[in-house]
Amino acid sequence: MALAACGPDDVIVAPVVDGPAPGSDAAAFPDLDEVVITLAREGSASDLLSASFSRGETIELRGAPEGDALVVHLTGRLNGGDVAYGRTCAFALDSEEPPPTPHLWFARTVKWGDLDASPAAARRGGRAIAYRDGSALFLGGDDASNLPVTALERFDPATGTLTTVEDVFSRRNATLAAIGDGRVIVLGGVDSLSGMASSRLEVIEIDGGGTARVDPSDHAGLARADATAVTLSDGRVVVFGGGPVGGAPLAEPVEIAGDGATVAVRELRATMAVPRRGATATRLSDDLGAPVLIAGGLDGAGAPVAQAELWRPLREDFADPFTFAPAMRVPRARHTAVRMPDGSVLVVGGVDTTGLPVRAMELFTVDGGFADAGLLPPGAGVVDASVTTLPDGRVLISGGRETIGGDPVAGAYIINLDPLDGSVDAVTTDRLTMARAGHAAARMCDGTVVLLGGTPLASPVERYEPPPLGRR
Amino acid sequence: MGVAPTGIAWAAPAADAVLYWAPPETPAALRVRVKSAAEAHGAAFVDRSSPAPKPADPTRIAAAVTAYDELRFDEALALLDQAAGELDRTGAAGLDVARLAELFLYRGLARIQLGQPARAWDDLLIAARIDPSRVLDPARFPPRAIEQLERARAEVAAAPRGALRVTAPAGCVISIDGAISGDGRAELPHGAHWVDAACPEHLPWGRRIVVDRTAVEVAVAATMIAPPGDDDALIQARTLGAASVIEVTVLGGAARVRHSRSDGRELARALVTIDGDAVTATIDRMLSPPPPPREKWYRSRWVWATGGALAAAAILVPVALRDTSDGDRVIRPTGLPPW
Repeated sequence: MALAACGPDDVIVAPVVDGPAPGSDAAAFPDLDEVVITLAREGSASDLLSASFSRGETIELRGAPEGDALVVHLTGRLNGGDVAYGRTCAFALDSEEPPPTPHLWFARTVKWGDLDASPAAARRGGRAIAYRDGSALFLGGDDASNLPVTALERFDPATGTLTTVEDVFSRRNATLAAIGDGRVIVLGGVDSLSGMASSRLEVIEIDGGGTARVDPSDHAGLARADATAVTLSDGRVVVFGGGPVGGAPLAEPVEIAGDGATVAVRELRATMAVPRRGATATRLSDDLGAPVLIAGGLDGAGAPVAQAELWRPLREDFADPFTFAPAMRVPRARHTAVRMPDGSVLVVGGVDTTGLPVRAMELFTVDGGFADAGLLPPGAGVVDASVTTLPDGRVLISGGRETIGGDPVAGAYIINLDPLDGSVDAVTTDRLTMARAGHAAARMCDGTVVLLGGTPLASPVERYEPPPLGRR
Repeated sequence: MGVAPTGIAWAAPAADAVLYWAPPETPAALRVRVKSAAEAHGAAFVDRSSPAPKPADPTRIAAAVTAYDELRFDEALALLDQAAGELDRTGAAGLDVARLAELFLYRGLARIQLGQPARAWDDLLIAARIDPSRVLDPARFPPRAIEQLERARAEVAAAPRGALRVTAPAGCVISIDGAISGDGRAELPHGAHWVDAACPEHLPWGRRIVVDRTAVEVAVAATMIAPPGDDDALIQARTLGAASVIEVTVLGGAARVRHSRSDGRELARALVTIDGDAVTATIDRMLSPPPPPREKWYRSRWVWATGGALAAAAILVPVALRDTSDGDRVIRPTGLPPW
């Protein structure tokens, strides 16, 4: 990216096009017939400027207006069909400021491509979360020597770089969440030195220059291994379940809220009907006061829990278990739950009461409880897979293992609700370039998914290019 | 073709708005030029043209075929559902027989892959009805799909047929299931079919027709394309609060450019070709302010204004030259490989 003048007064804004290595299946070039470049406001269906270019022509758009929240879309066409796509994250054009330098990942759609980036460590069992600026943060997991990785890594799609930005507390299986102002909190897990549940709360903040700051504090109420946390629609975070290592799971939730430059931790007076660890917590909508579904996990005896519970944020209480007690068809733990575009919750994978993998998916609705939603396809990871919601509302399941202790798989699948009858469809998409389990993936501001770790040794970072749908 | 003399254009006041109307087949560049000419003079631009109905988009079907070939069946199905949704409105205008049949064939194939056999069968029947000669390459398609299409072809071959007759005004080009029909007649298997008609000076017309008996007759009722009347222009001018407006109306390859006050009094009129810059030159002339009256040079406020402007420029130009933002802002990606 550079600022250069092609005429006496012209200002050149030069988005940097990144992409998979030439020769890769995911590489957009060289066999495109046409490239369409578009400038639009983020989220707007209409274009501000757009032009198409054939082979050999210089790709450029003249007359770009000033403004905030602008994005550049690049579409590659072959034989009349759109086969490649990429877009920048939002940027601003301001005559008072130097031209911005947004990067753009341009690749064949529904393909994984390797990034030109070296992760700090192998990172098996790590976590990923999207930061408020649209970048992805990676932390936790074990390295090639089975030691906890303390490096906090950040992949910034605006610069196309993966960097280690800070070190975090050494622990395993921490819980992550974003509070309302966008800062990320890390809590719980198992202290790698003492082997006890960690009471350390870390608040991660990254400034505009990409510099991270980690503020640690200790809270006895957060000493929980295998807790789950959810961000409410008003920005507060509520932590459910989990508990001391080898002890009974805790029934009382804890609330964490932004409080100026710091955070406030408050133990709530509510009690879960079935205290559990390793549950999922899924907010049912974006409306203020939207309830949270807590599903699955292991009870105090170590058995998977069938009964789901509902957290009601405005009352700061759980729904009465005599009136709300939907039961999963297959009680399970180590599963994943994700909200679908219609407000239902899809429960995927995990293990049942006998420790066997659960291939059956379930779909929860408030009015209908849990219902069968078909089976994961053979070859799909049932545990240790990454589950990421794509910009169009579909769900990407990548890697994982078909059985506990089984070999990692490379298969990736798209799960979506059939727009015609609402049934759940699972179809194959491009395979990962290598088998992975316990890896971490996050969707970023440009709509792509970045994934790393999950291999015995440090391995390439992969990036998935979803279809353009939902990426305006 | 020259610009018709108006004689009074130089004395006419500048108009507040330019009202533009053109039939759908008019080059879009003309609209852009007229809009630029209006805006260059500070006049509002109002496009009163009826939007042209969009024909079916064959690239969407091509993209769906690509998605199917790359095993993205759900994406292929979504694209084909969108394409099929347009057909009842367009009557398959813009699609030939092969593309139209391909739409339903690939939708059926995608549905087979997605485990929707009943709906897949319906699509394969339609595909066989539109193009009974279509067969699948055994090297590219699974045996189940080939067998299903063969069954569909056999069922269509055995189905009863009906005579479709499409009547339309003279000059219309009629297509039935994507194939141009000279006389608007066809013998078709019972079931759904698509008819479209392109008639001069009419909006495109298209329908889905069900042939369910021995003879079916359909009359094309395309809407005529006509410019708004003079009263509409006056109403538009008053709505805008304009003292006067310029109407640009394109008909038969020529543009009528008419400058009138909001009370209906015509100030200038010209009939010019739409090629080249004749339309914009006429608009420029009509929008130009009247020349100033002759007067002593030292009494002219323009002399004093120019002197003031020069003095201001002597101060401001060096400042402005330091601001690079006055130039055109160009977005030019870097990092692209040669292609």
